[in-house]
Amino acid sequence: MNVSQPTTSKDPDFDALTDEEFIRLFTTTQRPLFLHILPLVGNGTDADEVLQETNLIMWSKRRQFQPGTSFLAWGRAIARLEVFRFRRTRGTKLRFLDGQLLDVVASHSEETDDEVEIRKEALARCIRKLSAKDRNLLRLRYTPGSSGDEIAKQLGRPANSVYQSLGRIRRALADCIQRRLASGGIT
Amino acid sequence: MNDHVSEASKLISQHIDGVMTDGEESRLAQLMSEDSRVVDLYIRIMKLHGELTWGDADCSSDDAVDNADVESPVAGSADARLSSHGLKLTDQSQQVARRRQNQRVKWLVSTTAVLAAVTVLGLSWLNQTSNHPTSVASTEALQLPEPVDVAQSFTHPPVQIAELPPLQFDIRRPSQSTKLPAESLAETGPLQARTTRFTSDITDSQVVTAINRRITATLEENGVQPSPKAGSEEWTRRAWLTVVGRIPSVDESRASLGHTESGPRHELIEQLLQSSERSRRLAEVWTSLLVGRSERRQIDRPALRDYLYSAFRENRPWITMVSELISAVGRSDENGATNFLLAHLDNQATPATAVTARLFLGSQLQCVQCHNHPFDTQIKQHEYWAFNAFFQHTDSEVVDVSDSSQPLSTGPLRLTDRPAAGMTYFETRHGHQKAVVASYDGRRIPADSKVRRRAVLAEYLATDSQSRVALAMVNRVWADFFGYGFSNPVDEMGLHVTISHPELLATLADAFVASGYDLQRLQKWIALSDAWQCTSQATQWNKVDAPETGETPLFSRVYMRRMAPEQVYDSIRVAVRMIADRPVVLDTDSGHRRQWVSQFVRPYNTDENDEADEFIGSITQAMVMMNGPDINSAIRHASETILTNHIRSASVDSVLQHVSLAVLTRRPTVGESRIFRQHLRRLSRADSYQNALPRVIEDMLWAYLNSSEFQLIH
Repeated sequence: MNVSQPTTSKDPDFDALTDEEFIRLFTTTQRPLFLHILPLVGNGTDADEVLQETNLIMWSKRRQFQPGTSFLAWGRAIARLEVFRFRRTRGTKLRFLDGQLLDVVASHSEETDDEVEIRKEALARCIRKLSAKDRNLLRLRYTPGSSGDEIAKQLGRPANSVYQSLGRIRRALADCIQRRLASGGIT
Repeated sequence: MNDHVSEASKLISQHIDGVMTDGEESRLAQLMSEDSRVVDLYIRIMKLHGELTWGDADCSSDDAVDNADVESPVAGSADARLSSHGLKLTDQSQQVARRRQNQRVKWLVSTTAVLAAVTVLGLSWLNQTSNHPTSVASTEALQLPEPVDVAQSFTHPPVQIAELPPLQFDIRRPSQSTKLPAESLAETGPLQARTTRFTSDITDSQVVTAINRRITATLEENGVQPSPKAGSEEWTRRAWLTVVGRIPSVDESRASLGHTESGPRHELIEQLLQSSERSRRLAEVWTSLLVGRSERRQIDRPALRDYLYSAFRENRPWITMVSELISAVGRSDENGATNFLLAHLDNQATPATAVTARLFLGSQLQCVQCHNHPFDTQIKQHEYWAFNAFFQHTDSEVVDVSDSSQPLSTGPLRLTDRPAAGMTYFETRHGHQKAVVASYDGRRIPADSKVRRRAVLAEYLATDSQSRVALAMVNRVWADFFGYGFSNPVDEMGLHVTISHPELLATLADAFVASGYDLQRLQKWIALSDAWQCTSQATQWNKVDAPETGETPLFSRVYMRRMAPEQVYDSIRVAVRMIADRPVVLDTDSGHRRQWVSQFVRPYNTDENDEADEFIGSITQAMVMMNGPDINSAIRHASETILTNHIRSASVDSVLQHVSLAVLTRRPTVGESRIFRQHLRRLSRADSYQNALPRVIEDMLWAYLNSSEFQLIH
């Protein structure tokens, strides 16, 4: 990510990022960090909170970041500690993600962190392959503040069947993205 | 075992929706600890959930979903992009404020907004009637210490976004007559829609006339008028960017500036089509299309690029190239064409099947691998596997380089066939095993035959009753020139997709076949069509022609689009070297270029518009450009050179003109000259004129390079 050939630079601040540079990197890593944190805490609200904590730490430690190394990896390391702290202080809400398993998830998750942009493109295309009905359901579900029960009421469907549909759609999208990535990433 | 994955997938989704019982939670924990595939699934679904939550995808309606892939010239311009970033940041900052009331983060976000605002320049050109002065993107603004309220700065953006034409949602919009022929296509197939048939002695003017007639007819049916003819400056720049992939140098553009007759345009197109740079660009674009952009072990990208370069250079018939790529055998380092299939042979050759269908036939088959096509009732799962069967028995092996000290795994690969009889088996969604033989276009290879199936496929494609290879290539080349193809996305022309100009597409494909799949001529026909002579500026009589809103394109003008990163790199290089009076030598494939390009995290090199949204967005781009030490030092060097070479002999205005011509292929506007002089005056007050001038030139160059005008192909 970082730009090249700083060796000839006579900039006295060469060793630390300027605030502008920091902000540039900071802005581009917000989404990848969110996506990294989410599987570790399990829900969006908590992931948001951990991300904001992580942001504060990143900002206060910005002088410690070594230009030339991966900014995302640096942020991820901080986020990881914040996840542990969050789980300790909040009491874990996720029994199925404990101890060892959390490490496994974190390391698996890292493997795909670099695919953020490709995944975004794949997602847009995969959504287009959904039926209009499924797309509509997805839109309702991801309208901020909505809940599955309300959607069920709105659609006049049993809540259970709405959750089932959402499960099927998510699986289909996840598999579709996977396939697109497997087919060389150029689609 | 697959039951695990299905069961877990339901549990994970329940967890996301907050309807998981304790018992189910323990069950999920158990599944995850037992089966690593479940862990992967969990991460994939959670990331998907995150992407949807973050707002990566818009599911609002069919049209809007289509828009997810396409950007409007408005949204594609730096400015609207920024405002959408801004909104996102605003949301975040509000959350932060609510939860933390933390000023520091807010300041951080605010500063980003200020930076964002700074990157916007050269917008006024988008709307030339604007009287607002363009602000010079001065370096002072970068150091703005005052926190600015984010929400406010985006409610009242410092740029004149509001002056761009609003998106049209007029329901009285003339109906798309083009949809009718598209529907009738479902019965007849695209090529049957043609009305003229070409023979091998077709002339260029016959085809150009046919294009003009079709485009005009559709425009008239829709009550839309084409934009006026583009000025030489605009057209020359666009021709260079489209055909060879970079802006022209001052000398190169001067050669045709001032002429608007069709003669010089025709000559320039001929000259560009003959240039080695055109072949270089095509080879680069197609290398990325064929094997992906990222470096992969054992895939010899340089060998593939060399193969493509020499094939494009000698203008080898496209059908021959397709045939060579599909049926290639031999070593990856000796026969570059082998690398295409070598990159896609894994996983029962399903990637090979899908990529071949998509790139060469304009058909997206990936989804029918597992089930019948949901929309296109004519594509069935068994057809997918019957197509896949052509790639079965294709194999790769590591070449044993015994005299090499390197480990085997880094050696070249060899692509081979192991011809054998037999059928291809697949499983339906209901779990039934089925078997098919290799078949395409109604022709099949008998199950007991031991032919080289890929070679047979190549032959079938060359004699395809519907010339799908030609249709797909025509569509792609058209999109390369206009920003939009006849279908959207450009590589999906299945029957469920609306084809904007089915007759024109069929006519062009027919001509392309008749010419012997002559790619140079295809490019020439499109470049010389009346539609491509138009300016990219919309007029009040054609602003309804807005494919970026999901409408079918009418081609009343050439649509603006963002440069691909390679085009940006090469263009900056040309501009800066010209200003520094250094020869315009192209950097073909240096590590620096690769690295610079790769920072834009874009998985492929093409500049079809439907793929342009891969560009991370101008905020990052602009900031990288601003901060890159290489750009900074190059600009400093250029401004020093300009001073030594020009200042003593010429006026300040001529210096600005030189910079403007070099970067934007046009003379500076009156407004820009005024800003330039004002800026110079202000700096000279604080410092000596001699010291102020280089800084002003540097700022001006920097501002031009960061303008949306520079970064768009228009």
